[in-house]
Amino acid sequence: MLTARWLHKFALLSAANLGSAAYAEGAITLAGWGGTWNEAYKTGITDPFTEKTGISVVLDEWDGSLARVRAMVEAGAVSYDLVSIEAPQLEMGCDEGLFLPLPASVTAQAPHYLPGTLHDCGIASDTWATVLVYDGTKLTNGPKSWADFWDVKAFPGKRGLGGQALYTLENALLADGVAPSDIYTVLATPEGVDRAFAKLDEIKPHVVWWSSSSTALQNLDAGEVVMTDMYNGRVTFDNENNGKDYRIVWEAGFLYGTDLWALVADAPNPEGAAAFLEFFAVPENQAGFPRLYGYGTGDARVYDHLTEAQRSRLPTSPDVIGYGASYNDAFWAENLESLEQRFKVWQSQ
Amino acid sequence: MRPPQPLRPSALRGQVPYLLMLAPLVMFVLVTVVVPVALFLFRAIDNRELQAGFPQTAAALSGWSQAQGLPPEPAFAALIFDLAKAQEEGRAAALAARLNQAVPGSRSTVIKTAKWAATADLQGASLREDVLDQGKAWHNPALWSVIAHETGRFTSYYILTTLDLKRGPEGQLQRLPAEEALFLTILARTLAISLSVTAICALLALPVAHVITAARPRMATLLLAMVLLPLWTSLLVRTVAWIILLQGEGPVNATLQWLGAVTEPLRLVYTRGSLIVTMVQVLLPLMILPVLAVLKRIPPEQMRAARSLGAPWWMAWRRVQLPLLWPGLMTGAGLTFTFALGYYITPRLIGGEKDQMLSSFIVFYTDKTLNWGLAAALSLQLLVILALVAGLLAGLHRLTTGRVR
Amino acid sequence: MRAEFWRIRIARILTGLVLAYLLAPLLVILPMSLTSGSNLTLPGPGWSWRWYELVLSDPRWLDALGNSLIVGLGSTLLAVLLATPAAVALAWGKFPGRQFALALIATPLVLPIVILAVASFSFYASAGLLGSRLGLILAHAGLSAPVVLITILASLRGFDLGLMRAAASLGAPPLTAFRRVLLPLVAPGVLAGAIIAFVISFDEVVIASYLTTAEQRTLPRVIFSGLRESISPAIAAAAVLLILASTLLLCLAAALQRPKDR
Repeated sequence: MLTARWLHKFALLSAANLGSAAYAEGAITLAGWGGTWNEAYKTGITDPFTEKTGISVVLDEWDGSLARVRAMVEAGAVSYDLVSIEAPQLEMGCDEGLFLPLPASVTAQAPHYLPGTLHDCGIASDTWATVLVYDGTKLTNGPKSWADFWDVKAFPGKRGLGGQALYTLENALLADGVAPSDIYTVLATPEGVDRAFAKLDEIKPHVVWWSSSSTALQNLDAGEVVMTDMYNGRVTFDNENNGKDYRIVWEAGFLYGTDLWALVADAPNPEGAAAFLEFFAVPENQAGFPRLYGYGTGDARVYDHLTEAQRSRLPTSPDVIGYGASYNDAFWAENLESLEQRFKVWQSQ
Repeated sequence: MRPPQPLRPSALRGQVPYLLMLAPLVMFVLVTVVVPVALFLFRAIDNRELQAGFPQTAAALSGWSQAQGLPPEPAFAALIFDLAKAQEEGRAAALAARLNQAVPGSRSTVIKTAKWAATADLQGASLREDVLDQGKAWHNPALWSVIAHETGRFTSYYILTTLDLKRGPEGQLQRLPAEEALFLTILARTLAISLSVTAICALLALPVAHVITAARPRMATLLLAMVLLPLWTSLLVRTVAWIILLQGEGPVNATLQWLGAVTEPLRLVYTRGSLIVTMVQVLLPLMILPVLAVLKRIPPEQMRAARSLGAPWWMAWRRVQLPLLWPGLMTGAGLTFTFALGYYITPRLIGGEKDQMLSSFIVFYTDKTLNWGLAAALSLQLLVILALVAGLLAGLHRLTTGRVR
Repeated sequence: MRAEFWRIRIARILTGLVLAYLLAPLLVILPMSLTSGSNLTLPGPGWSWRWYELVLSDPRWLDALGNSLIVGLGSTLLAVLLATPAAVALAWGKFPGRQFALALIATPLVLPIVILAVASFSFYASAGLLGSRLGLILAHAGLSAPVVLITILASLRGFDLGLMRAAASLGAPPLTAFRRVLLPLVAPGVLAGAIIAFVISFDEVVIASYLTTAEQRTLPRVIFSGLRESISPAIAAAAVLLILASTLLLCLAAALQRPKDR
């Protein structure tokens, strides 16, 4: 495309004064999820890394969009070395060659990692779960299971659920008595999908759909919903910083998801990125983040470096991992579009 | 109208400086707007991936139809050849993604098969069994049918999908099954929201325009400024303000509770109602201004004359003023409706899941599933509707202004 | 005429209500931004400037403000440089295809912003212009150039080319004629167009969220992502600043556009 190429040249010419900031020599650029997540990562992981290796880190904030990575790689203008990306996107990006395989020293740690947390192209930057939550100040005898979540007679009031197929179909099957580890064997069949939607039919009139975590928790706080599904880290954050008493019902069963550090093809500083990955793969170093934040890690050895209180809020800690199972990213990588479409049709009926 | 006179060469020469002055902007708009949009819309019919993906397999499948079940052995051999080539050329992942759009659940099988095909030692093996062993997807004749039929440079797949249609096994048009038929619902919803916003704007604009026209000049200027002020503030800011106003603990609910009208806060935000309230507020000035412009040109004596002849006010207004107001109302309605059709930020922030309009789905397929073909087809649909509305309004405008004259 | 009296009354009351409805959100956001609490409730626990202090001291907001200014000024400059000669050409030229050129230039005005944003995203990606301020400047200039063009065209309407010829026939060199005759006539239109162009860029969020990464984040984008995470009074404070900025600028633009003979 001639015009595009022309624009590119123009961009290169003017990059010096107008383009994005110049990077310090030897620095690496990481793209994280922003806000408090980035703050905890900086204090817990990247600052100690810089102290140890002398490699400075620019911790940027991004939206986790694979389209953006693809665009950068295709244009030969990669500005990130490592990105934290959701597992289904990692799966697709790895297939397309947008991410590079991890150093062998990192992948050799595989036996210590939980399912889904170490991939050819990525190592878990954090693990999180969508959990059943209620407000402890409003319900003294709260729900114990996803079946209770569906039981509008025993627990009258509206429920909050994320307005998408991902997570919601799993929750419906949990409520229908499917064990967390069996969810995807059920969901892989057309009958299983029908079963999930049939279960959702039961609760549909009682659901307030949320599209951002802030609205979901506001609804819970205002008593507009009596219980909701929510990311565990967000719940812990509000409990610890805003004096809330939201209760996470781990024993109801949950699925955990993984964000992974992935090495972008044509990264500007691959050596620095590899050094970071090697530093990060040491359990003691990796503990820096879950110590500060309610998100877990993939390496089971990390928990030895955490206190009881720190462990209690993590979805992948040995205390609660028995109630949970991993989201199946390969399943969602190929069924996301068709199931989301069906979900939207179902929602608008 | 006279036919345009061809310019004499000498006259045209005098125009060269003007053309040179105009050229940079035209070029700029072409490069930064027209070309990108055209290239993007082209994705709605682009089928290069599949066309380049399976030349051998498609040839081997000629004469085969989905009704016969799985294809014959040569098709399997051709598939291995095509996939091995795609894998070597780095096209396999994109090909798998494309096939997965047509037959959900086939992605991982295609990728696995491509990797295998590029490295497998094929001597003496049953190719058919080997391929079928790679995954369930190859047992599905529908997947083979896509490879057999989508062989052209262009595809109607995305555009048909946006109309809730698909091609059947024999290439005939079929409706999508009810649980997949999403897009006509979205289209109807987008039109319904835009229409109601336009109608409400028209109803609210009329008294305001009348009052401003009748007011003394100073007052009229002040009133006009009050209409214009919201037009000058950003869409985002106004939407934020409505969220704050309407939320559970917001002033509207507080007032209602203080008045004793409700005991529990009402759910006002993230509903169809809050969306329409916000959109009307945002778009109303666009309706008031053209109505006002027309109304100012109508001499007040006309109404007085009609009234003095004994016509009741309502009758006089309807028969005398309304026809004169039509062009203004039409312009306003056209502006409001076309702007409303493309709304994204406002529904995203203040609407519920059931109030998302076409633009939200363009974003969804661009960002979340990377199905740019479908996003482009939805964009095309939106643009076609915009063009139809514009054409309709131009026609109506000609009709009404013609009648007035 | 009693019915007439009531009809006018009712129309006035209705107008008052509609105007209140139009202005309410702008008015309510002000007390919200001045609350001393951290929730957006009315009435708040007390008054304070703390959220303005936060917005004007937090590097996240300040960087965004800086980016917005750079992109706004850059795209305005570009739009004005491109649109001014084009407006003169369209106003005075007699060449065929002027209507078509105008329609082409006006495309961005009718194009749904999401389509433009998504299309620019895939196009700028292939040009390597994602995540650069230059990319956003180009995109915003494309959006605002037609508005500048129309504003200048309006100020040129009724201006007689004969004046230039008269100046020439009185012996003025072309440059002097341009400086003394044309420039004063066009200047208000150009300035007004420039201000509107700046406001368009300063407020735009959809294209900005596609073309920028965190580093070039503009003010509206920070507000937008803030809304998705948590609604804090800081957003109201930033919104008030945006309203003030655009209102001041646009009042200036309106004053400039007012015909002198009135």
